[in-house]
Amino acid sequence: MRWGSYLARRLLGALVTVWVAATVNFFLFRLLPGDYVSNFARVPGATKAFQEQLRAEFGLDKSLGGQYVTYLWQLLHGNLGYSYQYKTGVSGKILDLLANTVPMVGLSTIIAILIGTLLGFLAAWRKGTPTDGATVLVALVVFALPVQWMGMMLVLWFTGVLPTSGISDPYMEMMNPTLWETVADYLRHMILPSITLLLSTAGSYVLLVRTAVLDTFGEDYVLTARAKGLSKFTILRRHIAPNAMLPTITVIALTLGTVVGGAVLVETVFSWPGIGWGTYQAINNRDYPLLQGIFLVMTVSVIVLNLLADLLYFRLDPRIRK
Amino acid sequence: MADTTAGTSPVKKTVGARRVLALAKENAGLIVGVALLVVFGAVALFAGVFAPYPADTTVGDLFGAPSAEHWLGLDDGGQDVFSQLLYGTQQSMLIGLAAALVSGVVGMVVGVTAGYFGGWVEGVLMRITDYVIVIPFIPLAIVVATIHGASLSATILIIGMLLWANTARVVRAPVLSLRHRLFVARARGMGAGHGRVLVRHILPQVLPLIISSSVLAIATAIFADTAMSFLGLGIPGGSSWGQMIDIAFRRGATTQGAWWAIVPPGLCVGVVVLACSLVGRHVERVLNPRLAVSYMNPGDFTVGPTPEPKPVATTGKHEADDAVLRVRDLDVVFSLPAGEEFHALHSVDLDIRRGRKLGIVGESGSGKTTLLMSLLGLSAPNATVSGRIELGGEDMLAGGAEGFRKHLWRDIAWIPQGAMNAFNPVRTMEWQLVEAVRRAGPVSSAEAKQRAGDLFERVGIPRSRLKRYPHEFSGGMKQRAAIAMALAARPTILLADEATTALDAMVQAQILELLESLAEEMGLTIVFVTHDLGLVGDFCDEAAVVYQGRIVEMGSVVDLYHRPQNDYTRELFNAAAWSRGADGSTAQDTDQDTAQGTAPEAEKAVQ
Repeated sequence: MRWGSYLARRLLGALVTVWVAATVNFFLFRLLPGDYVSNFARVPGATKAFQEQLRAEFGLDKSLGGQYVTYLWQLLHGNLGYSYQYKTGVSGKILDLLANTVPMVGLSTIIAILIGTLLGFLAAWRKGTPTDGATVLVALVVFALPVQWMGMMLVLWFTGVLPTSGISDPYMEMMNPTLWETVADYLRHMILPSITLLLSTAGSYVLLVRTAVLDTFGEDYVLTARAKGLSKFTILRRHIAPNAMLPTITVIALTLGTVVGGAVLVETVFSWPGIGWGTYQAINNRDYPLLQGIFLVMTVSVIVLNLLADLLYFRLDPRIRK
Repeated sequence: MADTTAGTSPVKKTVGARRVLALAKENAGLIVGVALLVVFGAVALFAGVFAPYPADTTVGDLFGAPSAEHWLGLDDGGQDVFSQLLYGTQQSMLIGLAAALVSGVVGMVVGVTAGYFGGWVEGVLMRITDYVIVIPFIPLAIVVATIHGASLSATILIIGMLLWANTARVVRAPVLSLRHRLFVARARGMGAGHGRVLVRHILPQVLPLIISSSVLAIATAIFADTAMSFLGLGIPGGSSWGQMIDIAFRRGATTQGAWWAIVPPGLCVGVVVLACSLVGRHVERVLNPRLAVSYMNPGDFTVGPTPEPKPVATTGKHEADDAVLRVRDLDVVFSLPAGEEFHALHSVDLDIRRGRKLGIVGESGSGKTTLLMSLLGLSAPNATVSGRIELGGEDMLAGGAEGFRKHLWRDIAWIPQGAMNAFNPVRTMEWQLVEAVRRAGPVSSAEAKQRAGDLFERVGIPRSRLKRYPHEFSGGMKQRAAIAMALAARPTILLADEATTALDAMVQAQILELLESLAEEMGLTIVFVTHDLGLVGDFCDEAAVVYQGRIVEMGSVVDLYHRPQNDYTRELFNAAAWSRGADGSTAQDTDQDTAQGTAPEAEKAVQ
């Protein structure tokens, strides 16, 4: 299959899935008691005029089908409705929250993938030895512990040593910090949440990579490579790694989508004002429009990451492109 | 059947306590996992009996530290943490088991239905499954909990309905392949309805898979409950471990430094999830034997003690002066699970003479592949290899695996079976040939590519195919490419392992012709391992017959065919003549009547 047609087909498939997700999202939240506007009436400061504007915007006076069409139309224009809590547009709020989440989650994910790959290879390489046993056990244990609990344990241990709450020091601004001081403060706040998230994901990456590598060990071409008299490290680097990474990429992309969801617990523990913390606040304040928007963004991010994994796979595995 | 085989089975068994110990060690994960689950199950059942204090009752100071009366201290409400933990065990285990049951049943029904009926049913069901897998868990929990009201049953249902998709995915594939199996078709043919076939023939086969994925679902369910509880979507007034963690967080146990209110519930979740993973991993290992095959292990084989060279007189054979590869007293013993041993090769002596073509024949499991692998120094890590394997007078075995490595491809090259997955699937043929060319010494990239192209042309593949990937080659082409690759570092000895077995007769003949002309042109010594006697007759000068780990007879092909000395050799030839019929390629002088008389048994042996 050619790159162009492959790309087109995958893009189309992803678009269909996004549409399904948006539709489910629409109907799921319609199941909740009350409509947007009557819920909004409970919010202080929501004027009659504003309520009318909303009604028009989302076609709440129309039939369910009409509302659905309006919803999709507004969605195409990036309008996800208005947040009860923040009294601003949901899209803008989500972007603000994402701007805080992405660096923290991104950093910890990159490190987790690096650690997972390294330790996974090491464990497979030393299969059956104490090194392997210890690596697998540690991976299984961190995988088994609830992430919010690990976060709380880190708070217990590091209170007073590292910042355990928020994204920046509130007193910092008064002291006219330099750019470097601001960045350093931001990074210091990032340490504990990142480590917690790292712990919760790296374990499964280690196990995943280890299994993929062990699977590859049994392939005939590995025996060929050994018969060639190549050193084991060369075989690992040239023959095993490129093949073992194929299944790993797909699964890691799948889990990456859920990392954003997993960030809910971590961001809550450390009051990191990102999309996860936003979710927690929205639940507690029953801010359904914001929740609905976040739900959609999370689903779409899973779909996009899957698409990226497919495209990467196409690039890496010649057997797909014929 | 043959004189050499009289005696005991080659597998040495161990008995008694040592065996039990060895078995326990191999299944340690399963044993520990099940034991932990049983303990937690018992605690859950008898929580009320064990708990020193009643549930949800203030019995001391808020956040009181652990003491003799309160082993794990007191929580924010002055409740005994240890007692709460026991009640929590009850609720968490209930949620875990019930949700796993829901997900197991739904996943089984969806997976089996999709796999069994296929077609559009499968299409629709798997689309739904794919979607459920990407649904973010938390928002769904919020919606359901809000509409339904949070309760024990709501929690179980939400979690169960999210987890079934994994089970369905895992179950579908094996059902799909079972559907096409003979016994299912036969049952259908005998008039069994779909329901009967599913229950009697399909379900028992996939049940272990369902159970293992359900055990993992217990873990995920307990996990999911901790997440839901933490977001305030748990069971109102509930006491699960997740709720304990949530309450500790909300009431500031972290700022109070009340570690005793935080540590125990988290550890309990950890231990149960760990136990489930241990069980699940064990089942996976049993079900996925692929993981057991490994050509790359941390250890190399063990070199056994080198025996004293035997005086020539006692070997009963003449020493060939022109032997390029000389094997003496080669013993290979594999250590097996549970302390057993398998003696695969017994004091094998073999002279591989310069410029000759030697066939090594034997049935599957006779030890011929073990012999070949030991000549390459690629015996498995559980093997102990002793004896001498001399290349030009140098005992390679004395140096262990490293002793062989410097000779591999430069002096001894291996021709894998082309039908195997012998080429790296994600690299071009050129890349793989260049790698082989460079085993002879460093050359420039252009030079190496030039040589790879020359090799391809020599074996009859157009140079332009170098840029292609292995999957774009036919079986015969791949076999030619394998030969080209084997020649890349100018070896003198080629070891071919069933190199033509999977090819059709025409291609097989072409490959043999190619090997023959190459051998002549380059003065190669070829060792041809095969179970195909006709091939040995056509192609080889000499043959060694391997049976139950011993070379029972060796000599020129002519001698072996016309004057076999060993009963087994005779039977092997008879069987071959019988199975090949009157194509005239082998053993024309065999008495057909005798052949048919002995055939069934010997044929079984060949398989």
